[in-house]
Amino acid sequence: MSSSTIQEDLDEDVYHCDFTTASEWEIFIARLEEIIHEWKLSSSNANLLKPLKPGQLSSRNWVSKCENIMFADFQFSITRYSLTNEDDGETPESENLRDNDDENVKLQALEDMMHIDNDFIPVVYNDNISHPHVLARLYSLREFIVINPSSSAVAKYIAEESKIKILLSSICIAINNCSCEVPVFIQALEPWRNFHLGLCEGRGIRAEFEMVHLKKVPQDCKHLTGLLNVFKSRLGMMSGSEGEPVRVSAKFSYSLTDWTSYSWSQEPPNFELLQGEIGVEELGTLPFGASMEPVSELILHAVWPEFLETALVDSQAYSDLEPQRATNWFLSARMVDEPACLLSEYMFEILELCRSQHSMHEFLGDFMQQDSGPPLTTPFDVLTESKVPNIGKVIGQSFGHSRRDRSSRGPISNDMLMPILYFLFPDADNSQDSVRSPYPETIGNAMNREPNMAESTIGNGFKSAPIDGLVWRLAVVMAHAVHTLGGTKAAAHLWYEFCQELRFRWNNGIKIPGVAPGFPDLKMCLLNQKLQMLNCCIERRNAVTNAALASAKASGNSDESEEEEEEEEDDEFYDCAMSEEDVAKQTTVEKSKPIHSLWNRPVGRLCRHGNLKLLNSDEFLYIPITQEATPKTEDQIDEDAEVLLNLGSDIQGSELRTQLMSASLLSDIESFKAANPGAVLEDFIRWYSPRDWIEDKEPGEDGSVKGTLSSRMQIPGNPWLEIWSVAKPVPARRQNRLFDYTREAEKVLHRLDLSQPSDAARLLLCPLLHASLLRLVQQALPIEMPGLISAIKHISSKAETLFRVCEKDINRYAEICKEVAHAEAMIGQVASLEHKLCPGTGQTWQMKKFLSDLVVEPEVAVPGGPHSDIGKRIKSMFAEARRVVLMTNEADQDSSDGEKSKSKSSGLHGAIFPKPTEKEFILRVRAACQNSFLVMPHRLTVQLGPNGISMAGCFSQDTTFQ
Amino acid sequence: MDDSVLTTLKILIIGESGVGKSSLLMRFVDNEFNADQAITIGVDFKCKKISLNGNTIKLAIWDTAGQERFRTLTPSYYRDAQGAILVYDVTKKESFTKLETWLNELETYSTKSNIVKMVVGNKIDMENREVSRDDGMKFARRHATLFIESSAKTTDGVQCAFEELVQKIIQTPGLWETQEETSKRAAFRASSDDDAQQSSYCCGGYF
Ligand SMILES: Nc1nc2c(ncn2[C@@H]2O[C@H](COP(=O)(O)OP(=O)(O)OP(=O)(O)O)[C@@H](O)[C@H]2O)c(=O)[nH]1
Ligand SMILES: [Mg+2]
Repeated sequence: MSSSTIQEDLDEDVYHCDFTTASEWEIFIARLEEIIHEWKLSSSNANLLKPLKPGQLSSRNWVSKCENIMFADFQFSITRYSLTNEDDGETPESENLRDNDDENVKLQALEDMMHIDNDFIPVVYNDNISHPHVLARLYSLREFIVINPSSSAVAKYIAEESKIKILLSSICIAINNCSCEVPVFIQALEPWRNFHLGLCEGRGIRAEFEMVHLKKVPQDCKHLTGLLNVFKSRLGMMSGSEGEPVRVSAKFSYSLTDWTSYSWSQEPPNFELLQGEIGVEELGTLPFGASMEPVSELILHAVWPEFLETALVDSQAYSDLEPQRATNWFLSARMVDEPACLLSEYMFEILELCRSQHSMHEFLGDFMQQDSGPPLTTPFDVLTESKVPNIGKVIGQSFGHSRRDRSSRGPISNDMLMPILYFLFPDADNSQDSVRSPYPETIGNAMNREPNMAESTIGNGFKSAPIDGLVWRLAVVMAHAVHTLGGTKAAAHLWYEFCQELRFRWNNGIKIPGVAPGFPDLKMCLLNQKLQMLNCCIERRNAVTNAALASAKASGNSDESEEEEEEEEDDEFYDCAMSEEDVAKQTTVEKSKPIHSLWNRPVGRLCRHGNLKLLNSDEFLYIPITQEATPKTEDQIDEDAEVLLNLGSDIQGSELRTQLMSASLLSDIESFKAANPGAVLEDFIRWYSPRDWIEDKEPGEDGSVKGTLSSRMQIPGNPWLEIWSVAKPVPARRQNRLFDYTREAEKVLHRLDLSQPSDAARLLLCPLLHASLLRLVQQALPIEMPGLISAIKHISSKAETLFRVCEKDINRYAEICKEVAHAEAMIGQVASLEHKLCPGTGQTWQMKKFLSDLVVEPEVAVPGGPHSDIGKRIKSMFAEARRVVLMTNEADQDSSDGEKSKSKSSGLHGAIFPKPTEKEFILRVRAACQNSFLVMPHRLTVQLGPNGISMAGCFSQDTTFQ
Repeated sequence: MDDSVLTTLKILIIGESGVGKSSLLMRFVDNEFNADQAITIGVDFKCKKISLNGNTIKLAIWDTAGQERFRTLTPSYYRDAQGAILVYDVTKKESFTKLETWLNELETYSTKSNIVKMVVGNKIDMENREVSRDDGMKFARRHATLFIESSAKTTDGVQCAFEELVQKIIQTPGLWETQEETSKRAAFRASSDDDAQQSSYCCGGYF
């Protein structure tokens, strides 16, 4: 075989340029030498390196350096590929192997080539670029140089033999001039052919690297026997002549694509089947895994590492190379591109919903109209209704009875809807003795709860909702609704029912479950804040109502109620709850010291402020009952901040801001005045801002305290003075409410009512994504794939940031979902492989590692080889697939030519494995050949596959005795 | 120099009443000092553009009332702040011991988990010091915050306090940029790394 074969498939329109001009040639050689020197490859004294350990050629990192080089006006790039030393752990070998004379005539490249520990290393193709370089695989080289037409060259490749010859001889001159022992290759023909010719020279040896590609495989090249003959005849060794026998390594690959009973997929939850018996499990959990078989092909590689040509036979008639008898088995798994996965499907559907243009009305038009009329309910209804003692019954009615009829007409059937609503509002379920799916008690005090492994993996920075709280559950259930209960329509219906229930609860003073108590938590998502706000409103109003009821009861009991108390009943706005005790205390105090005239009788006292007395009288200083702080959700704060910002940053703006912010100061001063008739500003300051009251060191003559206001309080016209002067004594309960809970509640409900399906989806997006990531990480934790968890962490922090900055662009979230889909697919692949190869629980670490390696690595050794449990499992998979093939063949052929099929199938019956899809051989020999007296290393790498045969040979000769 | 604004940052000033929060802000923005600074009611704010390593950054600085009674009002405005200046008065031990509470407050209400904090000991021009520089430094180290001492009256340390805080915010990944701005930050970083080192040194800041 010679390089003439490259003439095959020549392209007509190959760029022509004259390489023969001597000067061009010399320039090329000079440049080549320059580069070799620059790369320090001319050190002929270099030590012979220790042989590589098994697999190092692919497991270690490769580095490459690249330069441009011209031949005439044709631009090439020249690249040096070399294996790094890094993960060796050993210090570079210091002893010089070349001390030995024997070693002095060895070339590193050829020694590597003859070493068997890195045979058949897997290469991975990425954008048509292989890693490691194909040459590393073909010749087991750890360092080499490749010259190929640069991407900017006029012609994309060279094909003329004459040009290749000129290039090769130029290389030959250059490497000799430089004493460079690193093999140099040139790439010819179209890049996809990976066709390389090269040479390596030094220490009296010249090795040539040749290649042949043939689409049609000659009959005698199909088996080892024939290939041995090709090898030997190229070497000029007579068959049967004495000399070292050829050493052979072989690798046969078998493909399996028919899964039969080994197929694997994850079913989505089917609520139809569960019919009203939907468990909390199904509702509260997002589905996970590949819904279709995610593995497309398993390839078994049977490998015989090294045997003598005489030990095993592989000919057309007979073969010893039976996969079951191979020394080692390796497995590769090919995956379906973007397999369908349940969790990511759910997420993409919600994203789709976020983009939806549909309105609630489109889906629920009639249904909504039929409903209870105008949503506004007067507070008086609320008062009467909340007197109903058994709350459970009231709620039960809310969606238990009154809605049952009409619900059945909604997109989600009543059978389905009720369990969902009970799941969201478990306290409403009075059909059972105990609540079926109560909210975790930890909601609201996450501080006291240790995050579990999964939760701490993705962090707690999500602008989400309490885990397994109402908003969380709603998000999950909404995803179910979209996926399995009827798409956008179902989502609209569910949202509508949710809003209805909220309104019912507001109207009836029943708190919303599954939300943390207290003011809206700005770290949570907006919907969660809104629900907290609604609860604040419900709580405040209930407090007021209860106080009113209590005092009504109290006055009802005593007919001879005193004037003062009667007056209190008249209070229209009884905002701040005062306990009966307080009222009683107050009255006794007032009775015993009737020093106040009726008009400035103190009201709204909370308690005495220590033993402080008013400056201008003998009265104690009382802390007044004040209005409570105002809860706000983030959108309201933003609005407020916007208003403040718009006032500008100058003095006037500052003053206006102070005015705006003074409402609570005014309220407090009024309360104070009401509780402390006859008090002066100084008294107020002593309670309110004690630092601004500077007490004299010496008490006054009469023992009373004396002091002055701080200078900043004395600034004429400062807000404190001004507000003090205009404030009237009004107890908190008679003041205008700073927090108008009715209005705020209506605002919340109104906003939720007005949400379109897309708005609802957006409100639920973060909790859903959060829940998805949690689900993902729970599935990922038991898997031995180091990169996976860190990838999920990375996705999480990306998602977290998006929500923090309130990213509006749905595409950005789609990117996140794609990454989730990718991770989910990998986990699905592991699950499928586990099902196929080693089903059963309690996998050992080694097994888990094997499974996840199959997903990420191109080729993985089967632990224990052909005779292990996995080996047996693989065998039975092949056997079953084979049976199916035979059965269908027989069925097909029964109707046609009976004779032929019989003979054919009988021959196949014994075999478990199909014909190999690929066969690879590496033939090695150290021998003296043709024109050389010395024993030299030679190698031939053969690949027989569906695309024909490719042979890569390296043949050496000595240059000294020629 | 690039005149376009790189980003707008929200910065909070918190601490006990009377420690000089408004005075620090006034000194930084208007370079004025008022011995009779009015007590702050609720929140106030001022804006200032500063130039850092050739980039213009707009600061919206929110001055909050330290006064106990306004505290229910102020934390709402902590939202989305990228930086917080915690001020105490070196002549009032109590204002220093209360810092712990302020940090908790910040922890609870700030929406950014990696908000940059700077502890400032103010009024160092006064003689009756009750908190040593060392104590302040130790506190800062314990809570992993920046630290500086200042005087709104004499201007000592005021400029530095703000500039260093901003510098640190800009260097904190994910704190101020949205995804599109990542490249801007990278560009910023490349040009400023060395200067950053220097400025923190010359100001005597501590991290
Ligand atoms: N000597 C001296 N006095 C200062 C300094 N900073 C502030 N002051 C004075 O301390 C007093 C309080 O200052 P403010 O700036 O109003 O304090 P604040 O922290 O804003 O107080 P609140 O608004 O109540 O939270 C004023 O009288 C200032 O003049 C300083 O550095 N040195
Ligand atoms: Mg102030």
